Amino acid sequence: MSAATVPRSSNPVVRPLPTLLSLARADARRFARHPLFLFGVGSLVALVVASLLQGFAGDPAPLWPTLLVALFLGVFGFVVAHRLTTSLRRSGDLAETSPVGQRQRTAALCLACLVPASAATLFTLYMLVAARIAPPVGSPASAPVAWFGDEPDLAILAALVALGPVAALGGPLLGVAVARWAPFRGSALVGMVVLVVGTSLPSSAGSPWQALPPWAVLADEFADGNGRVVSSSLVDGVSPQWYLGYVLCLCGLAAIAALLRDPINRRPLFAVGALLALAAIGCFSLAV
Amino acid sequence: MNTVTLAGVGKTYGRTTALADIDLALAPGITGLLGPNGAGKTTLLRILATALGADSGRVSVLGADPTSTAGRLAIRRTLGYVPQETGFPRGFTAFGFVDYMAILKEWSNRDRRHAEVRRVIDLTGLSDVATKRVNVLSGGQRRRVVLAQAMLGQPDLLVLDEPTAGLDPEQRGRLRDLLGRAGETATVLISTHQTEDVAAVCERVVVLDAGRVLFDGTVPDLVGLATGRVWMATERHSSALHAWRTGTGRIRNIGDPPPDVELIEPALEDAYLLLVGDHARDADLEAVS
Repeated sequence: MSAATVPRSSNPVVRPLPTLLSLARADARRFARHPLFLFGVGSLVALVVASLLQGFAGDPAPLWPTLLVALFLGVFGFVVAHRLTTSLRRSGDLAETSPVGQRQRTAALCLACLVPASAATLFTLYMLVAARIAPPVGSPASAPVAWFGDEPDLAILAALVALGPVAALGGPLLGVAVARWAPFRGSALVGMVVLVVGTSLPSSAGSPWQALPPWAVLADEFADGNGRVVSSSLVDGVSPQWYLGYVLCLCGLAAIAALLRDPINRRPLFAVGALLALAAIGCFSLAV
Repeated sequence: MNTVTLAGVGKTYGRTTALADIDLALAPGITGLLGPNGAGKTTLLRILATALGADSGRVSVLGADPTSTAGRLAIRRTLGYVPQETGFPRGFTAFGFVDYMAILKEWSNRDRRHAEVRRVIDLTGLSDVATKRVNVLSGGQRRRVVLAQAMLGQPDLLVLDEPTAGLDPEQRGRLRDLLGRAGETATVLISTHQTEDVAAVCERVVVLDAGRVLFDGTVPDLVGLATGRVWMATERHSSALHAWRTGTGRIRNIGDPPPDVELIEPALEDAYLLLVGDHARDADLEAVS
């Protein structure tokens, strides 16, 4: 320890927003460096490299890559966000006695969840660019329409965003919420199992509830006689744009649920949560 | 002028009384808090650090009331706190952890924050290991990482729960220097089992036992309580509360000396042992009667 004279170095004037952004940046760096996130990103990069090596001549079906995005960035992101949220509990009272309250810390963690969402966006962009450069085998030949027959581009884009980037945002946001409300060690595993099972439960085709699990119900695939997927289509009767709105509202509700853990001044959050819940119901009704 | 006041503060955990009707006032300077395990030291420090609320009584820290949200925030902005036990989130370097804590202390400007983090890292002698991950550091180095975050921004109130645990003698010496400098302007409260640390740096000492203040005064006053009650002999004496064989082979006895023994100058530890021992004996007698 230095014996040098200690200069006074009091903190300058405190402003909440820069503090929140600084904390969000720090949490984003922690997210980006987490081994599980790096594993997920590495797996997707390996897919990209394999696709490049094959001259974009991979599987023409978009469902499988988006499923991998949801798994590697959404489900793994759930665990990463949960771990980051609970990690400061190791520090005992240090975080709890800091001037930055739990709500601000939670908000920063929610902002850090944009990291996996950004990675998923990049991967989705790659899918679109790759499909544009080398249209998948199918009919018609223009990409990305080839995946979905005659569906409009905007609907397809909304479907891909809902299945990829939004899943990669929603999973981690849910991880923050679960960690805030159930901050014990096993809740990450339990939550992950519930997340995977809950979003994978088959529901009867044609039922409006088929679209309730927040991912991977927008696209059906059609295979040829050899089992090779030759084209995809949107699930009959589902509007991808409204569905995108629905899953975005679910993301917002997850963030609100996480922020509500702090008991101080909850009323505005309840109001926003109620609006989001109404919007989610509205979007879902319009989607199906 | 008092910066911290506690009036009739009580805290219970179920049927266990951790603090009972504590009255205490602290001014800038260094105060040592001594007491056996379970005396309520950590509970008292956690209340001052706003980690815990008191069940009864009034607490005022730097003019703020910790029972209100605004009061807690005001206290936390001027507080440096070293908890008794601290773990670290995985993956942090020493610099990274202190930097993260600096953000939690609202240092949002990156350049200023990094300059401040470098300052406290240097103050605590961690410059050589600043880029190492915390989980590979020794126990003493980790303790200094926690101390470094407490020194951020030169807090007006330093609450340190066993800050010297795990430090080697050289580091403890430097820590004493550091605390001495901090105590020139700030209110520093140190809980420790190391009576020599208290004797070395504290101008005031408070002894807690079973949630009550047994002694509140200066170090010489506490030492004075043991004057005439410590003696060297060739054997353990039955009237001694404590006795142990020293390096010279003679027995150091503490208690009520028999006549014609070789009395010696007491140390702070002797006085502390006598105070706590007498209190326990009185409590036993009271329970029997």
